[in-house]
Amino acid sequence: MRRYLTVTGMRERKRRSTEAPVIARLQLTSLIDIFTVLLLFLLKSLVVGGAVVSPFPGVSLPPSSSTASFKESPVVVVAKNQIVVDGEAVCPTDEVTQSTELKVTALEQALAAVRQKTESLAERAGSSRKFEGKLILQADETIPFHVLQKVMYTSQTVGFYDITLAVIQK
Amino acid sequence: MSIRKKKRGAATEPEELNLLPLMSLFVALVPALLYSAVFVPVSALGLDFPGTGGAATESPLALAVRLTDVAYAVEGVPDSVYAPISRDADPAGARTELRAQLDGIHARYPASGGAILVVSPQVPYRDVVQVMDEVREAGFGNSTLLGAAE
Repeated sequence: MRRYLTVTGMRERKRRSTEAPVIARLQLTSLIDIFTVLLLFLLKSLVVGGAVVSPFPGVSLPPSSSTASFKESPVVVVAKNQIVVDGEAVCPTDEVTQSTELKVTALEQALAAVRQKTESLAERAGSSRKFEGKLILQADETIPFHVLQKVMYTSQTVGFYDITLAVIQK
Repeated sequence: MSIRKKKRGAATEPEELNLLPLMSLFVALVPALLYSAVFVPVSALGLDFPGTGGAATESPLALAVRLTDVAYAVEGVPDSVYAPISRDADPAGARTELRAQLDGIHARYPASGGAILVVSPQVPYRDVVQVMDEVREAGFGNSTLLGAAE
């Protein structure tokens, strides 16, 4: 039994030494298939020209037949529970709903800071581009108009005159 | 004979494609496309403001659409008075009727552009966008928003 094993082992070693070295190759065909499908899907949903705007979590934008694209601008979100400027919560929406004033002070301060930041960045970069006063407004479809009116009025007092509404394409 | 057979067999063995450069391209393309892809199509809806020189300000026709909680009313068309359209019972039907009125006005005044939307305070934003769509699709372009007194 022992002798038999030794002979077999020797034969095996001999066979291995005469064979060409084994090169492990990855089977990439299925992965290429997945990538091709993924690539086609992504190409379909690609946005060329204009800024990409994603709906703020929890905000249900109203549907519209408009297909226009955005220009890069600060974003003001009017959600059901809070108002957000460029990703930072500014004040609760209830506060704006109950207010009798057209101007929302907290929003005004936040937008003034955004404007100042934009202008100082342009100045530091030596850019000749002026502050254009563009703003993207994302509001929940259930928000009453008087809240939006206050938000738009406040934006205009800071110099954001060119307001674009974000809507979901029908 | 056996050698000839062996040679023929070796010649027909399929050659493997080198897919690694293609993989590298895909690996670079996929993150780039993922970054700029939009899964929920969000588009822009233009807006004019009073006093900022919008289409409604320059238009010869001072078309106004009043939007309340219960009705639509078209105003500002010379020599024409339009009855308010109730939108309580059948909102979709009311929008169709409003669109028909707007189409008729645009046919009479093709050079006019822009309309002023006078919106009541409690009207939801969704309804405002719907009327803005009707105004735009009728050929009047962007709307100017105005808040109606309570």
